[in-house]
Amino acid sequence: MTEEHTTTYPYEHPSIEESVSALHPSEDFDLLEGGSTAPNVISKILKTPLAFILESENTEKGVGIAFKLLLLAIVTFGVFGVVVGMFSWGQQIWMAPLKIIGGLLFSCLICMPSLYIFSCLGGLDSKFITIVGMVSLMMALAGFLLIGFAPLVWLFSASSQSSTIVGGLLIFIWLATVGFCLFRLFRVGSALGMTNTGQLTVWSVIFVLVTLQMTTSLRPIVGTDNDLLQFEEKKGFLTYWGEQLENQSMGENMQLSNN
Amino acid sequence: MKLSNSIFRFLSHTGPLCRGEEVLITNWIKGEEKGALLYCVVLIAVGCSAYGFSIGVHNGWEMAANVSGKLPAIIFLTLSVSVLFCGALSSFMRSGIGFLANLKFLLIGFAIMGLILSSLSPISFFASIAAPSPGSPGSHTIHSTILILHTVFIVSAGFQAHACLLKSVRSLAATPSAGNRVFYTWIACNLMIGAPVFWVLHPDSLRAGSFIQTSFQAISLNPFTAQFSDFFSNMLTSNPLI
Repeated sequence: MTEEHTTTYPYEHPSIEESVSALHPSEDFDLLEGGSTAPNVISKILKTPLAFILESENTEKGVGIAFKLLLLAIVTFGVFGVVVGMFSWGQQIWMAPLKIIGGLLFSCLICMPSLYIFSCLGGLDSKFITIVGMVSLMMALAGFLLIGFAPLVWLFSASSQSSTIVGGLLIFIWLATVGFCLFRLFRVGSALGMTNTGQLTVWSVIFVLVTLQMTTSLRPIVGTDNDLLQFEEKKGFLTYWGEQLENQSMGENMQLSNN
Repeated sequence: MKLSNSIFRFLSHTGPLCRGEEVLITNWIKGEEKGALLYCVVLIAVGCSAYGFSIGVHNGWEMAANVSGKLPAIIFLTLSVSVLFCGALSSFMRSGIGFLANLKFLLIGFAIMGLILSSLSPISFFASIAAPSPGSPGSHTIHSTILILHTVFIVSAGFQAHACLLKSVRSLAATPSAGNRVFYTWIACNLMIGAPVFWVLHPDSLRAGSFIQTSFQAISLNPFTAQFSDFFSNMLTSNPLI
């Protein structure tokens, strides 16, 4: 007597039947079944992101899908940026969203060629536009997750005066978000036939480092400054955040001695 | 029109080349696709040049131009010496991989390396322009770290590129184990030859002047009087090389 073991996954993982049917979609296959309303699109991005990539890979709609996902990402980053800008108000209300959108899009742009080459090295057989779609999907997913965290950011920025604390919180939120998105990227890669994920792991580390450096290159995203960009003084992100922590502790010590 | 078609045809090989698809590589080794080796040479030149430029730009445009010429030169110099060694060794091992096949394999390997490096060059460029300028406080530590990272990237790209050829060399060699031996010979030869070539043309000698002039200066300076290990110790301690 044999016992059948069934494996259940905590997250969406297409079964073999689902993958096969998605790889060969029927003529009446509708990616956005249920209409292209905002809640439906958000639900599809969060629950079945693989469908977007397979649609992009198997049809000629790749460019359109990537463009729409990117547009969604821009809108969501913009909304999150406005919430971040509420910490300082003034010019930061438009500068923070601009920096967040610009920084993340620039990070994706410079990391895109290496993602394509590293995916190919890992055995992925996909079109370049599919890789663009994967990045766009990752960004759209990140945007929605960041919007989910927006009330938390607003709460902290309303209750704290320290840009270091809010900045640290934003970095923590970004790391959690990007970690989740990269996890999804690995799943998409595996579903598309990637045999070796080592190269994608290296790429992920590089991508995270690039986005972290972006927080320093586009500083201050949190806090006040009249200039949109600071090109005069270049710093590594570890140096910058180290200095911020030092300034924070010095400020606290001075406050204690004054009291 | 014909040229653009050829360019697009070869560009479509980027993915299969990186995946190390056996059919494509075997065709190229057997010479069944015209212009394939020229494409490899172009990939090495363009890919390494772009990456070299992104490394050198940290020290200004002159250095960027110098390193963009130097890096492909290092690769071609390593390749030309390595082919002699690998060809002789694989004949000695009776692997079934001839001298010409060795040359083609190594060219394809370095072409894949060129692809990997060129894909990383936008990130490297960003790292160079975002890093503190030379001479500013704290710049030395970051500069040393970046140099070490570049070394790691170049070596890893080379290793990964050659690993893409393993399946093909195993199938084209007399036996799969002979193919393995040829593969390890490539890795060992390229590391042993590439490291001193990098040292001979190390960036310090290219601080000023044209690439050819300074390369000759470097060679006439008898670079072997200096220790090869100084390269790494200098990176970690004082006197940044670039």
